[in-house]
Amino acid sequence: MYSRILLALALAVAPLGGAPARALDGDELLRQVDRRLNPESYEMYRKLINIEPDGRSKEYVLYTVKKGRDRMIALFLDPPSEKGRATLRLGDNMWLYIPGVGKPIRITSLQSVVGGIFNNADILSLDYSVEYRVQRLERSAEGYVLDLKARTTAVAYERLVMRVDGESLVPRAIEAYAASGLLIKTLHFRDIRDFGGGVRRPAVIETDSPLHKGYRSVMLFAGIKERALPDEVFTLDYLPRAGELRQPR
Amino acid sequence: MRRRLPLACAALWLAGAAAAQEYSFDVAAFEKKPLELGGRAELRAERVALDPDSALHRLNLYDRAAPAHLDRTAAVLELNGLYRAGSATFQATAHAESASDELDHEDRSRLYEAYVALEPETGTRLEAGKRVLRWGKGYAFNPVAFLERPKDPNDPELAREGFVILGAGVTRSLAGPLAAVSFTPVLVPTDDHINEDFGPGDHWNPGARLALLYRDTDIDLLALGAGARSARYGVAFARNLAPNLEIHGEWARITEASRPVLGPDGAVSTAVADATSYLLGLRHLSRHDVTTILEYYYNGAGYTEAQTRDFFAFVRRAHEAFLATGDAGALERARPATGLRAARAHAPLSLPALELEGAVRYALLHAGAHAHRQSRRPQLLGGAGAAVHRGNRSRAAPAAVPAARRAAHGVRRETERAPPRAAPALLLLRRRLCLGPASVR
Repeated sequence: MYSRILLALALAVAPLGGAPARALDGDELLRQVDRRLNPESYEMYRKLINIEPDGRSKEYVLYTVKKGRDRMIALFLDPPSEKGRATLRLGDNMWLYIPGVGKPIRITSLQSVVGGIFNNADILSLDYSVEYRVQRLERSAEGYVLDLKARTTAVAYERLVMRVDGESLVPRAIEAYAASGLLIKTLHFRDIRDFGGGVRRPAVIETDSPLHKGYRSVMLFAGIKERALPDEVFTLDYLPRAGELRQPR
Repeated sequence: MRRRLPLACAALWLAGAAAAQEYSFDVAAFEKKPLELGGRAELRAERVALDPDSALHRLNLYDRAAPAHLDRTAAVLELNGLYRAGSATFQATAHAESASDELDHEDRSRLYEAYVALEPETGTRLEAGKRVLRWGKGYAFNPVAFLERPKDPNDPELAREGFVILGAGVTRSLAGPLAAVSFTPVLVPTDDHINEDFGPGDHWNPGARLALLYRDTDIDLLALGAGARSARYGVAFARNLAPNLEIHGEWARITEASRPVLGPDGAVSTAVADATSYLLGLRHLSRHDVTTILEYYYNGAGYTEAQTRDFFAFVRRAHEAFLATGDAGALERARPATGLRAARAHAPLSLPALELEGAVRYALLHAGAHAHRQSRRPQLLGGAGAAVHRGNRSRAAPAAVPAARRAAHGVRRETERAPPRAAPALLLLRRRLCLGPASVR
């Protein structure tokens, strides 16, 4: 509560303070948004649904663990044809493991590991504050609008416009733009739910894209909880056994 | 109007029900269980063009009226299981395949893996049993794959079968430029009953891999001690040069490498000498999500260019002599020089196999491009690993047909112009390439 009051005060005086102060406040807000979405180290389950214009859909289930700023594993649990496929991310380094191949393969960090409108930037995303810096912060009727710029060229989207709910401090929508200014996709955050352990966040993200008219992708979240994991989990040798991290519920 | 209202209500109800169903997510269905079973079944039909002018066709089908094409059908069944008990796991994969074409029918079954692993703590692991150990960073070729069965385009499933090993693994994450260290020692025992196709004699065949992640570069140091195979050592690396560009490479020194050599009289002898092989590859992702993998491979244990010319020239002369006199003696003498199945354990990287391997990859390229043109679905399940796997699983060169026969007729691109020791490979993948269950696993 105190932090929210301090944040509101900071935002109120920000216009008087010039650009550097505003950028700092925006980054603080962005860090708060990150913590509202996930603990810094966590595990979670996600279902991805890719819906085609003719109504056909394809579903994937992923188990994800993350540690610290930039260590993450995403493991496919379903469909059976994808089961065991895992991606390890350490900063900008990324590896893909496919059971039939039998060894992790280094891939380019922009490589997409799943189709549909969601891509790596959504599936293997780190905290927004790690990958983006705040260019501009504005108040809106519903909360705040953050204009974010990618910190490096390894990030898939050059610019994000994030609309943050003033009450819950979680995103309501994120527009993703290419360096050319082209709108690539819009993420819509819905169904704020209490996952326990202090995690209260949207349980559904829907996305659409003017580049894929008629296609839709939906991401459902479940089982988000803080979890401490050994560093050795986030290594190439452990990647084939990432499924062992799951705990009986 | 009265009729339309109930219809509209029904439509709304159905839409609501569909939306609710669309967003259901039962996590309990995916919880970890002590026993997991899986598998795949595949039916395959394919047409293979034969090249009657190729050396291998002349060697292996000189006495048969082979058709211009083979129409081949195959049925595959693969089962895998995993059982967990505390910190121990048992894992097994079995494969069975039946294939027929105009020339032959073959049934085959293999146990790819069956091993027990014990992991007392994260990062420390012991393993015993039949296990596939994949070493190297390359896609099409792996000079440092000291503990694998050779990649044989005439038997693509072979490389998926492991050896009986005793192994361990210790992994530690570190702070600083050296981010991770992993050491994997392994023993591959051989005698008349265990791993007899690894090499001759009773040996323990010690090997080891030291893997480092140093300044965002994967570095592997690998070695295999002398035993059933000659001693060999090597290094492999991979690194991202840019967000869309990766580079990888391997270098291997094989002591006392042996290979079959065809003499001027057609007699096959074994040449023994140290050999150096290497591979350099790039993986590039274009703005349009097209992944291109380009690799150059130099096989120091392969034929020299002169030996290659001699081989093709001899086969041509021997075939001409057979057509003129009916004497197939020279052709029969030359057949072991192909280094395919008969000499596999001792000459895993002989020239013809390399040429065919390259051909498989080119065929894969064409197949992938075709698949993309046919695809309108947005899901991507491809990725390079899948493509490698597709290659291994023989879209281009099916498995369950006798090796010599397939070597003879299977690959039309087998060419006498191919350089003997070097082989390029190019793979193109498209983000939206759709791979079904059968082609992914």
